[in-house]
Amino acid sequence: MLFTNTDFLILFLPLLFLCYFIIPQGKDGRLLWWKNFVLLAFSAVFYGFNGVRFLGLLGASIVINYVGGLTVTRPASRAARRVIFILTLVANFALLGYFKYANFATEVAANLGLSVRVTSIVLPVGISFFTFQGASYVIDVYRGDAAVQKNPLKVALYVALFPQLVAGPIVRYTTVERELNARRHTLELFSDGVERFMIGFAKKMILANAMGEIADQVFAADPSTTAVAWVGAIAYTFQIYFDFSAYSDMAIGLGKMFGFRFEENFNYPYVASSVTDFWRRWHISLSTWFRDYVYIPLGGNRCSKARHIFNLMVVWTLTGMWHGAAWTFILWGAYFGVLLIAEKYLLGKILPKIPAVIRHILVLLIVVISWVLFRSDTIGYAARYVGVMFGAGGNLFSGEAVYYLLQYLPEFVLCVIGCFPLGKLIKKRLSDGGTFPQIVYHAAPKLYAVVVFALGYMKLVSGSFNPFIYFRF
Amino acid sequence: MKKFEKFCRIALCAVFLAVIFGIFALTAYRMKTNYQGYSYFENRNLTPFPEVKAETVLDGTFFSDFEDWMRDHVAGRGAVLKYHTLLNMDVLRRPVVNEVVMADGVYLPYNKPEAVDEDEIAEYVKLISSNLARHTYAVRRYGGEFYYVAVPCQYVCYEDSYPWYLNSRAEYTEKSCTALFAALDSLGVKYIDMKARFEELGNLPEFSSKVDNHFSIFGAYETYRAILERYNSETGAGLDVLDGDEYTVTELPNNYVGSRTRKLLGLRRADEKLSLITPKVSVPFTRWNYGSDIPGEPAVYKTPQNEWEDVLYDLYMGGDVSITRIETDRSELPKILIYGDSFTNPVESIIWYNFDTMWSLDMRHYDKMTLDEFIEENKPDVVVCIRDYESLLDPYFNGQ
Repeated sequence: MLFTNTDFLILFLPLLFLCYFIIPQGKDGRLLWWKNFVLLAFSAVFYGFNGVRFLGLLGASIVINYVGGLTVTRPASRAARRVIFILTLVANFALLGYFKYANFATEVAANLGLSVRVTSIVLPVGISFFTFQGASYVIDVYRGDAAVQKNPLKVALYVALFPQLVAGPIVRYTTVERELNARRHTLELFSDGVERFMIGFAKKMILANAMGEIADQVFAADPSTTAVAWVGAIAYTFQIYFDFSAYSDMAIGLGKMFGFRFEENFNYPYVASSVTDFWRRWHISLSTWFRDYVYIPLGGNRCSKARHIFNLMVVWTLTGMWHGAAWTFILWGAYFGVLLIAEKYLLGKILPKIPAVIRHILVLLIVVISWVLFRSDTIGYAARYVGVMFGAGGNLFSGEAVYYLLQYLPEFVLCVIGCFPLGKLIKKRLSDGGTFPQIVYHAAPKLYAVVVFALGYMKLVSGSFNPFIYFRF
Repeated sequence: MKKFEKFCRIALCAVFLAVIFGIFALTAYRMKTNYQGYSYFENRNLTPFPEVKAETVLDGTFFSDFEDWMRDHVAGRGAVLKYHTLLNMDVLRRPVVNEVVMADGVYLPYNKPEAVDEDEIAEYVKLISSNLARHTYAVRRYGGEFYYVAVPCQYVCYEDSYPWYLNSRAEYTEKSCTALFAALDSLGVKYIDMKARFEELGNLPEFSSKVDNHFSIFGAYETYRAILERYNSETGAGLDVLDGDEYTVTELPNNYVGSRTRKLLGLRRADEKLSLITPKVSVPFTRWNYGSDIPGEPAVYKTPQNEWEDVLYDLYMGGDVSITRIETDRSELPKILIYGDSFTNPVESIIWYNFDTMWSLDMRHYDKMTLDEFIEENKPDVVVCIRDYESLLDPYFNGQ
């Protein structure tokens, strides 16, 4: 089930609201157990809609992390704790490895001439997200950054909580630890959640899906002309941002409706002025996960230059692999690793001297090309595609590109606007103003949310193109 | 201001909850009281409730089918589809809406951008032409005549109406026709190209519909003439081709819903009406459908009950029928078999008049025997295959 499904919106959500909010808040939080239970049960249903057989996997992940968390602090000896910790992590990543990377690994082995049977294991949706979440809990407990959770229901709810289950953000245990134990449901939080959900829903349905239609058509074959290649690449650049950030918006919004506050996952990444800045703004929960649990333990930047470069390359290759088991993703991660190293050691002094506009354009160009690699099925296709973008195909222009631009003109315009924090700026101006600006400040975003939600719902019901692009994550 | 802020928050939550709970309740109510299985404008059956099987529940197929079912049956879907279409047509003014190109006064199919692959065309030409040659030899063996009739579909007739940036398939049309006709010539298959004939007679668009893929009754009439004139000239059969003073044209006042206007959910109408051609001298006939032994209604037009009813292209012959047989009990006249897609229907509405027996086959629906077996068993004097330009190289069903 996805947030942009009819069954989620008009069946799952109303039933969940009924069952959840019928339980009174209770002054001492004793009834929270029931609320958590309802959330967990519905989260299981939510995940089960992607195939009941995968519920066992989710359950296994919960058990591994619950038992791991419980036992990792018990032994008095550090060595024993370390062994339990490593075993828990191995179990976590063995599941991920098997379901996500076995096909790729056997394919590579077969290509190398080894006599292995290429597997065809179905990738369970969201496995990368909940594995990383579960692992972060055990790591935090092991390190002493979080208290062990003895209540299995709460660990299960943390791992399986439906808003972030299939498309993130990767919520750290410490972020929601307090809310799992005690949380308040207020009008402010609920209405903020509704507003955020409605906007996320509209972003996905109106902008991301329209851009996805173009990208899917263009990437279905070698692009016919340079113009088409650029339109397709830009469309995908918009699609992946508005799709992914829309899911995060919806997750954050739904979390708020049920009393949880998740961290922001995107911060207008396409206004970044450097690749480093881009990664501070893009999929923040993933980059911070890798920073805290891989990069810093490897030594971070407090080491020799060579070791630092090695650390960065390891982290970015892993980041690429996290997105999918294919050479394109590995190369995509390595591409960013190299760029970040270049920024750090070669361009650090040059970049600030370049005019801001040019810096932004350069970053966008780097990002657009990275998305071509990310979207391509093979490295060969990506190379041909980028070649056509820069005129290697021979034909520069065709009506097809004009068609995409005219057909999706409103969406293109909105996408460009949506990449800038204009709403934030306007809101800030209004909040500082007098009575009328204050009225607009409170009413306009809600009215806007209702209108765009209605438009998004129209697209949902009319059966428009509505893909889920994280099946490989 | 605090109160106003609170009011805004409550209003937003109320709207959201009212929408999701309201649609939930209305959908449940509608399922119970007014369950619909067919969508008229989309011309398709709505998704049925998926069968619950352990296997599909385990692998998730059941739930994805359930979502399709839910989306198809959600309350207010019809209205939402209409508003969505109106928004795209009148507010956003998209060049293509619901896969219909919004050209000036004409609604055309959207053709995806394509790179014309001449090797692929050659491959299909080889296949199709050999199929047609096989039929030609089979018919000639017992002394009959086989004609292949290529008729231009809407996008061919309105090639010039496409905006320059959209694909009118002109290149594909030109290359596929040239290759196919050359192959038919070399194999001795007799063919009639109606595009060439329409162009000789005047303007191509005059013979096509503005709101549908098919030709008009006038296009069908010219096709009828072309077939009979060719047959007469080659066999000396002397069939009496209906001339202008031998038939009446009746224009129906009803609103014509073509496949394009149907895709636009009836929100756009063209000033186009459907017409009937009826011989002035009537000939009694008996009609059997679907191979039934019991004669059906002796009619070649499915005329509407009143002037307010919409009419569809199934006015002609009642639409696509797997097999139809019309007998006029005039054994001095030859027997004809016409097969093809729905372009055959208006031609059949006229051509039956000149034959003792007319069989009509649509191999998309007919599965009792193969076309070769049917020809062998019935030995029609004339066999006519009518195919439109879009399906000239389609080797399936009527292209076999």
